[in-house]
Amino acid sequence: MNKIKNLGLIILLVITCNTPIANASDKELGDYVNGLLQNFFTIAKDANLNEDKKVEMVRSLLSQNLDFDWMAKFTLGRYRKGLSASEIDSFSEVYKKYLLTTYGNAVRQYKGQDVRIKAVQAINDAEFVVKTLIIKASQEPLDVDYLVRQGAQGYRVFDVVTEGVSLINSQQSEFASVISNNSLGSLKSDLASKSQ
Amino acid sequence: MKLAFVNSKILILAMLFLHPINAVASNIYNPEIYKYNYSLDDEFDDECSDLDDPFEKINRKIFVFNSVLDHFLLKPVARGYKALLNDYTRDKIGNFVDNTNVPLTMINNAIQLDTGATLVSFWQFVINSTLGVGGLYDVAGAEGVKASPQTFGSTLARYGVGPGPYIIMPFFGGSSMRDVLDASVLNTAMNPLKYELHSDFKFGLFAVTLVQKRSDLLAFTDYIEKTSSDPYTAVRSSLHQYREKDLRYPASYRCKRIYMNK
Repeated sequence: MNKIKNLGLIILLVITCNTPIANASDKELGDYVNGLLQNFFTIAKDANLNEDKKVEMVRSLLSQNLDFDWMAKFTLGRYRKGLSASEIDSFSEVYKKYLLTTYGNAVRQYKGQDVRIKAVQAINDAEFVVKTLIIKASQEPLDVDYLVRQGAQGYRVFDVVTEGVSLINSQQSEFASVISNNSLGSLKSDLASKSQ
Repeated sequence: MKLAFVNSKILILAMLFLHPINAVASNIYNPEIYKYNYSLDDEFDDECSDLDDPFEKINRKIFVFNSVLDHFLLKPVARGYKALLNDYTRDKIGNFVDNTNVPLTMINNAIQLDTGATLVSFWQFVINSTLGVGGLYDVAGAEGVKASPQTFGSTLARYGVGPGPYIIMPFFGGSSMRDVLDASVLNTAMNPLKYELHSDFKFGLFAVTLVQKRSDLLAFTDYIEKTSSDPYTAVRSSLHQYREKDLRYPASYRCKRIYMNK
């Protein structure tokens, strides 16, 4: 487990650069993810910005580049089928705010990391894995994979897999446990409390 | 156990002569990676995406016990260790600790009859122990000679044994039933290097390993504490996924990874 360092930060390295592109190619996808990360690094390194401003900018960039609604549905797992459309929408709103808050704050943990794009692989016609190495001097590089979907609005990231640990699969297990032991309302309250 | 070590050395030497060296490069990393299906329409297969947890009630109690111990003992030491040593020094110590476990990887690769990976781990250990100044520098890894860490649990997985239920041991933490003896017994018992070390050195190595690993995990556990609605499940899920990424199940294994090679 020694390589799961800075997990919050790595998950957060999903930012910026909302660039709609009509047809995906390996180079475009690599450039897209590299652009996301480089924009994040630019914000994180900017000495003229205070911490709160950096968090605000990162949240803005996250909101443009994550597929929140789909991620929210996925994290509900088997419990989604028993919910109405309005209940799912309501959860999606809470989930989006939770992600923006928790991962927006991760910009405070930036410590000089850089990225190298290793490979781009297609899952299907519209979904791709962009494999990267997050590099920091004097530390073992981290394998981080960005799962990217191409839609009408351009690319959207729908999962980040850090050293084999998937963000949304972990959340699916966690949320299922809370819903099973308590309720969906309890989960929403908890996520909302962490979004303050 | 001395006999086992002697036999293992004979096995490795035999492989050195029987296997061409150019096989090394092709067996460096586990080729499999994703097992998750991201479709919302498919049926959910919890058996594959998370660990079965029939002992959850008692596991949760032990989790709390371990967390309290960690909070008052191990975590403060790990924070002090991280504050005291810079990244460079901790990286070198991490390399040293990792190198002492390469013989364990080598033995398990041999039991898995993977001659290429066995050779990779052999040369990784030899190169790092000599040119790498006792393992402080990962000279082999920089040249691509790096084997994926293997334990006896990895070997069982190679022969098709699934993880089984989730177990939390007091002091040792959580693992699958298949891997439960790795940390407590087998990682030492199956590592020929450990039989050659003085008991005082072994104790020191154990302590350094413990603190080093815990300091590596500080960011992760802080993240869980701040963001998780259920830290118990978050840790279980992360442990499972992290562990699975380095395993090489046979092609017939029921939980297939659906995506592409690394």
